[in-house]
Parts: sequence; structure tokens; C-alpha cells
Amino acid sequence: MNKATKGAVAAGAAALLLAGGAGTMAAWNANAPMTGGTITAGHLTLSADPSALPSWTVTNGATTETNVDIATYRVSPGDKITYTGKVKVGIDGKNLKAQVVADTTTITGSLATALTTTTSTTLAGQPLTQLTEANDGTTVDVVVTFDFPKGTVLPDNTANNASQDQSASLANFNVKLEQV
Amino acid sequence: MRKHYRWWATAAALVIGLIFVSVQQTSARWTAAETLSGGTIQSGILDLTVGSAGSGQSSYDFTALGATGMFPNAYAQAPLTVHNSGSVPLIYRIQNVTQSSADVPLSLAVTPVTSEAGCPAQGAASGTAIYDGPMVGAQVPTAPGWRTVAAGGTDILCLRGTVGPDVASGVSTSVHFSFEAESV
Repeated sequence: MNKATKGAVAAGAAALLLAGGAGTMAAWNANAPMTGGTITAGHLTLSADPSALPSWTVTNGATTETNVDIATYRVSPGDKITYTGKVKVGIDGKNLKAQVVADTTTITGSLATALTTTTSTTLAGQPLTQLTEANDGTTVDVVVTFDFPKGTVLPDNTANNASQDQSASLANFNVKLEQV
Repeated sequence: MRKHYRWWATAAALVIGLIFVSVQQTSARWTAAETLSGGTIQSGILDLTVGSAGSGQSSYDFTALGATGMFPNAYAQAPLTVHNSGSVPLIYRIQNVTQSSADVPLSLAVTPVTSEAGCPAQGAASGTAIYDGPMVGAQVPTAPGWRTVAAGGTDILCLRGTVGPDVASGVSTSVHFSFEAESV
């Protein structure tokens, strides 16, 4: 095909298309509003309870001291130190389930490595593993237990004695509420 | 052939990309975090010292118990104050006693007293003895027993060393008391 023929074919096709667009491509449509609704997501929130300061308890054998002033208390091997902090949970969602997780990596200081840390969440003294919408707005206890076990090597042991005059700080202690 | 390969590769990349986008969208999980007001756990110091009522030392020269010109059945008696110089309660015992020479057979009596005045150089100590036996190898109280001293507190022991009846003349010995302490 020479150039003139190609041009003619192209011109013809363009003319057909233009003609079609002008008249035969019309389509009918109609619309009507439906009765709808709004999907709303719930929420998970966590806030420290400003009305309740954390409390400390120290247990050694059969002896338990409550309301310990941790700023002045000096712990030693054989002690079990319990921290109780309070957080208010906001949990809004029909099928939403969540758990409180204490981030022990935010407990810092050289003494932290000598302590065995376990955490739990309780509500009115009862263990609480999973929170639901029913717990919305309640204040739960975050209990962190630090076990400072006695060493077994006697007599004087350098490794054991290295934990003297050390500290573990909860200044940036972080607690999370996580959906499960 | 190469072109086809490219097309397949592009299509596969798109599919994988869509899968990732899809995964990112559906794995949304809610969390909330809060920093709680905390505190600092501070460990204490365990420090046992011995000496007089006023001060304690980690290595104490107990000259008050030394005596010369002793004879069979003679004794030397003096108070020894055990100090808890640390910041936590401690438990302790006299772990072992050794003599530099066995030429002087000695026996030991240990009596806890409430003050140094209760332990005169001569005469009975005001209290009940918790040990009365050979000097060498004495352990007071015997394991697993301990005596407890509060942080900053003291415990006064009245020690009496008595020369045995079969001692030769012109001999001497020194006595070494070693203590062991632990946290409660």
C-alpha cells in the first residue's frame, strides 16, 4: 500500500468513528439512592491511671513487706520484688480481643540482668489473659515480679557479689495493649 | 523467546506485588502503648566487720583477747562486736577458728551479750553460752545455723579462751577467727 492509500483508509476510519460517536453510542442509565449505613471502627486505647501510683512489695521467705518505698529500699539476693502499676484500657469493638503486655526490655540498669522478670495482668486480683469490650473503661493491674535468686556458690563468690549496689530502673517502663 | 520471558517476569512481579499489598492491608492489628510511672530497684551492700563497739574492721587485730603469763585452766575473756556495716540485713557465723601452734591447747566459749559491759575480763559473761568446746575448728553457731544482724546493727559476742590443763610452759599461739556472712 502506498502512502496515499493508507491516508485514505485512515481518513475513512476516522470519519466513521466520528459519525458513530455523534449518534449511535448513546447508552441509557438511571440511578436511585439506596438506604445505607456507616461502618465505624472501634478502638484500642491505654492510659496510665493518674489516681493510682504504682505500689511495691518485697517478699523474702515467709516475710512480706507491703507499701515499700522503693526509693530507699535496698534489695538483696533472696528477695522477690513485686511492682503493681495501674492502666486504664479502652476497648471498643464487637469482636475485639486484646491482651496487656509488659515490655520488660524497657527496664534498664545493670541489676536488671540479675533479676528474673515475669509479668501478669490482673483485674480485682484475678488473672486476666484476654480483654474484651466488656472490659472497656476498666482499670487493670500490671504486675511485674522480679525474682532476685540467691546464688548457690559459697563461700564468697565474685559473680554473686557483682550485683551489690546496682540498680534497675523502671523510669521508661512501657506497657502495651495488643489485639490478639 | 526472550520477550516472552520478560512478559512473564513482569506479570509475576505484578502478582507478587499485589499479594504483598493485599497482605499489608489485611494484617492490620491494633496496639496501644503507655509508659507507666515506675521507680528504681536498688540492690544493697553486704558488709560484715568486727571490732569494738565503736567501729568495725574487715581485718581486726583482737588484742583484747591476748594474754601473757597464762597457766593451765587460766582464761582470757573479751567482747567482740560484730557490725553490719552494709545496707541490707545479714546472717553470719564464726565459720572457722585456727591456731598458729597446737602447743597451747585452747577451748572456746562464746556467749552473746547485750553490751560490752556484760563481758568482763574476769568473771562470768551475762548471758547463755552458745558454744563451749575446742578452739580449733569451732563453728558458732554450727551450720546451718546463723546469727542475724539488721542493717547498721551490731551483735556482741563474749569470747573466752581457756588454756588446757596439759599445756607446757613457755609456749605461745595466735588464734585466727574467720567469719562468714550472707544476705538474708
